[in-house]
Parts: sequence; C-alpha cells; structure tokens
Amino acid sequence: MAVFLRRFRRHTSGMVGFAIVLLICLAVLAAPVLTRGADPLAVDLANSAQRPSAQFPLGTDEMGRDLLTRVIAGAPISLSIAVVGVLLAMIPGVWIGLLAGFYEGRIGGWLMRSIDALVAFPRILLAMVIISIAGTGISQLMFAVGLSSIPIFARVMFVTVQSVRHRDFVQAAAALGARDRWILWRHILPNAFAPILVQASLGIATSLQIAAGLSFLGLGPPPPSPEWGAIIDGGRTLIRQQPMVIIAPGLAIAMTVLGFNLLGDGLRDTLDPRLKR
Amino acid sequence: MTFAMLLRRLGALVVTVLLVSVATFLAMRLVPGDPARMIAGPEAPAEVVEAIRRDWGLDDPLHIQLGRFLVGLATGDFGDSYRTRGPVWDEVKTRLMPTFLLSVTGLGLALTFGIAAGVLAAIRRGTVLDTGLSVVSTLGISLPVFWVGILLMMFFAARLRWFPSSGWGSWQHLVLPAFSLGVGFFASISRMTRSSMLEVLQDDYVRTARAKGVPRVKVLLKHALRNALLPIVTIAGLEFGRLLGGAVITESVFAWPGMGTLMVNSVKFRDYPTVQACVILLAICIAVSTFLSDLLNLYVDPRLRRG
Repeated sequence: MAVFLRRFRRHTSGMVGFAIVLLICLAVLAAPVLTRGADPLAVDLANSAQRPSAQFPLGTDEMGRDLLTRVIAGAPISLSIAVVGVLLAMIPGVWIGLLAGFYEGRIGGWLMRSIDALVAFPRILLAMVIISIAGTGISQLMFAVGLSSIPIFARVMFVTVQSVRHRDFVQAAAALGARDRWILWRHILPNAFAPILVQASLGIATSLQIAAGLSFLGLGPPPPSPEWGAIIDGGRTLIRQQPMVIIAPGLAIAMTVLGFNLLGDGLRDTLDPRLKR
Repeated sequence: MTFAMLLRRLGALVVTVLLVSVATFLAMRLVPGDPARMIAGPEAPAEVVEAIRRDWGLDDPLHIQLGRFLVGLATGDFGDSYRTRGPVWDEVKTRLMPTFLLSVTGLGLALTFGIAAGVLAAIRRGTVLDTGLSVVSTLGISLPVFWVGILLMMFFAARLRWFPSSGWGSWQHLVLPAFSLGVGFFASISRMTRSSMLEVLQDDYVRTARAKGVPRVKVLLKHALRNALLPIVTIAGLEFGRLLGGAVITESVFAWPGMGTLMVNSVKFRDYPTVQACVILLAICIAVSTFLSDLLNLYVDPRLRRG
C-alpha cells in the first residue's frame, strides 16, 4: 500500500485525474453552498437565454433558469447515474467472469464467447434497447447504463482469473484440498482487485459519457432535470444567443470524464506495473 | 490464418448475429403490454385486438413464433412497425446508405489523421510534439461526441457559415458530422499507432535497414509502419462498433437521416420492431467489419497466410 501510494504520487497524470475527481466530489458535497440555495428548476421566462452577467455568472437557459445553478445541481445527478450504473454492473459482471474463468469447460467457453460478442457491440445501443423496453427516466437510465456495462466487467474478471488460475499458489491450495469457494475467495478474488478498480474508474468515465449522450437524445430524465446532457439538449436552439448553455455543461462532462480516465490510467500504471501499456 | 480458419471465423460471426437476433426477440417479450394491443393502437376495440392476435400468430407457442421470426429475417422481413404500421424494412432500407457513408467517412478521417499523428509522436518521442499529441488524444477520448458535434456546428456552421448545420444532400453536409464522429476514434487510433510504432522501431530489421542506408522515410513507411499496422487494423475492426454507437448520437445532432435518428425516434415511441431491426442490422455491420479487418490483416501480413 505504501509502495503504491509513493508510486501513484509520482504519476503526474494520475494525480491530475485524482485532483479533478476530488474537486468534483467536493463540488457535489458543497452544491447547496455554491448555489446559495437558488432553485435550479425556477423558471423565469422574462430572463430567458440571457448572456453571462453579474446576476447570472453563466447566463440563463431557454427557460430563464440560472445556468450556473443548474450545472452545479446537475453534478450529483450525472455522477450518481454513472456511479450507480458501475456498481450495478460490477457485481454480476465480476461473478460471471469469475465463474466462467474458473470453471472453464463448455459452459464457461460459451458464456465467454457471448460476453465477447456483447463487448464488441456498442454499449450505447445496448442501453437504448434496454430503454426501449424499460421506458425513460432516471432510474431506467441507471439500469440501462449498468446492464450495458456488465460484459466489460465480466471480460476483465475472466481475463484475470485465466491469468492466475494455473499459477502455483492456486495449484498448491487445490493440492492441499482447499474447496473451490475458498480458492475463489482467498486466492483469486484478491488478485482481481486491481484490474476491477481500474475498470471501475474507466467505467465511470464511459458511463458518464453514455448517460449524458442518452439524456441529450431525450432518453434520460424528463425535462426540468438539470442532468448535464439534458441541459445541452435544451440549449440546442440557443446556439447563437446563449452558447454558454451548451459550452458549460459540456465542459463539466468533459472534465469529469477526463478526471476518471486519468485516474483509471494512473491506477493501472501504479497498482499493477504488469498491466502498463 | 488459413482459409479454413477464415471460414470458421465467418461461421462464428453468423452465430453471433443469430444470437443477437434471438436475444432481441426474447427481450421483446419483456416489453410491458400486449403486442397485439400495440399494433392495433390504444383505441381499437377488443375484437380487433383479438383478430390481430390470431392473424399475426401472437398466441402461438414461443418457439414457433421464434422460428417464424428467424425465417422472416432470412428473407429480409423484419416485421411491421408499431408506429407506421407498415413493414419495418421499408423505413430502414433508405437509412442504410447515410449511416454507412457517415461511419466510413468518420473512420477514414480518424485512420488518416490518427495514424499520421501516431507515427509523428513515435518518431519524435519525448518531445513537445509527442506530449502535445498525447494530451490531444486524451482529451479526444474524454469529449462527448454530441458536444463536439454541436461545438463544430456552432463555429463552422452558425458563425463561419462554411458548412450547412444539418441535413443531408451534398458532400458539404457530410463534413461536420464525419469530423465530430472521427474525433474520439482518432484519439484511440493515434495512441495505438504510437505504442505499436515504438515497439516496431526497436526491432532488428529496422536497425538493419537503417544500417544498410535505406532512406529514413522508406524505413519508416515500408519497414516499420507496415508491421505496426497489424494491431491497428485489428483494433480498428473491433472498435468499429463503438464508432457506430457514436454515429447514432452524431446523426441526431445533425439531423442526418440514418439508422441512428430512426433508432432514437423508435426508442422514444417504444416502436420495438424497428429498434430490433436497427440492432440486428448494426450487429451485422459490426460482424462484417471484424471479418474485413481479419481479411485486411491477411493482406498486410503474408506470414498469417501460411497459418
């Protein structure tokens, strides 16, 4: 752990990513203070599509709502969709990968072959199919983002299990008569910690992009919601009058995605140097 | 990779597409509500719904319905749309070309610029240029595709008026969507090219070529790049799916009349048969692109042909 921390601290881009993620988490926690209690949903048509001013630091959107307040209020929404999505994907994904990798054989092989096919299939399309079945809304979006990232977690887990299951310490445990459950739990799962953590960080980044994209397409939380992609969708008609409605939430998405991408890359390079690309 | 291996690959792809079709068919059963009611519309009287159920065979056992569905697919019959009530295929067929054009142009742009940038970064390793390109590609991966699209539209269409902001008709209409689609893909291609080139440049035959006085450009393009291309072709084939996913969003930004806009509208209307058709067709495109990248690798690397 100490070794990892020392290495990570020297990893510049990883630290930058960590700082961005930390900053965004702080912003989420401090959201009520930052917005000074303003209501992100308060419509004020007299002030619609205002350019930035002293009263509205980033201007207002098509309904006269304060843009800065909305972007800040959107952070917990966008972030929670991505984080919940990743958590939803992680548990079944890890189990599928673990079992398919450990009990190779016919079923494991078939399972993994289908997982491979799903990984090659664009996640946003999987999510859209799920939404066409489940309908639109914030929990449906979480569900769609989550289900669509199960394959990638299963894949990461499968590869890890494959790489350790024939190693000496696993063979030794089996030779000593350890039960499968003990081997999986004590010897294989701990080795998967690093790659799964890395995938979680990268997964939050892609989930954020996908969730924002779906909201932008009108397949996310319904209109007044200040989800970042939804704000941009609302501002599409304001390209000329108030470009901030598009620029600000887009920058917020890009920064957050960048933060989690850099953090994930940094974790990969330092947690397990063997994974370094 | 021999001919037999290629055939086996092809077989696996057919199985994949078949699996996707069966999965979407089964998923349709999870849609809440009665399909006969969806087809008839909300105001139709109960007798009409019953008649549709009988006529369409919706009360047959599941495996018979599945069989009928697969036979339909083989003959290009994707069923009827809940929205237009007409065959899904009639709506989908005009959408294939725009999506194909957009994704192939996006891919072409990304490959051209991505490979060039990757080679440059590799031969100028550790310089400002290398760092700059790596920053650009990290950013490129992080920018949401629809946002890039709107920004390009804002600048090049609304302000400079160089290109039309949306629609379809001339090559000018293609420029902005193709570039916005290419950005994310450019980033991953240039990263891949850089690391692949760095690896190859250390190989003995590159050193030999240099030592015997082959011109630098020729060493780079003929000896190094050709070998570095293998993983790039594979990755490009595998990631083509992600590109298609991006195309779905890009199309909606630019009102491009392809499968993406059709799919988004169909998801909104819960027009499941159309969504299903789009998914199956896109799955076929992805399968074909993986196969093409295998073929291309055979062409680039004669060693693979001997198997």
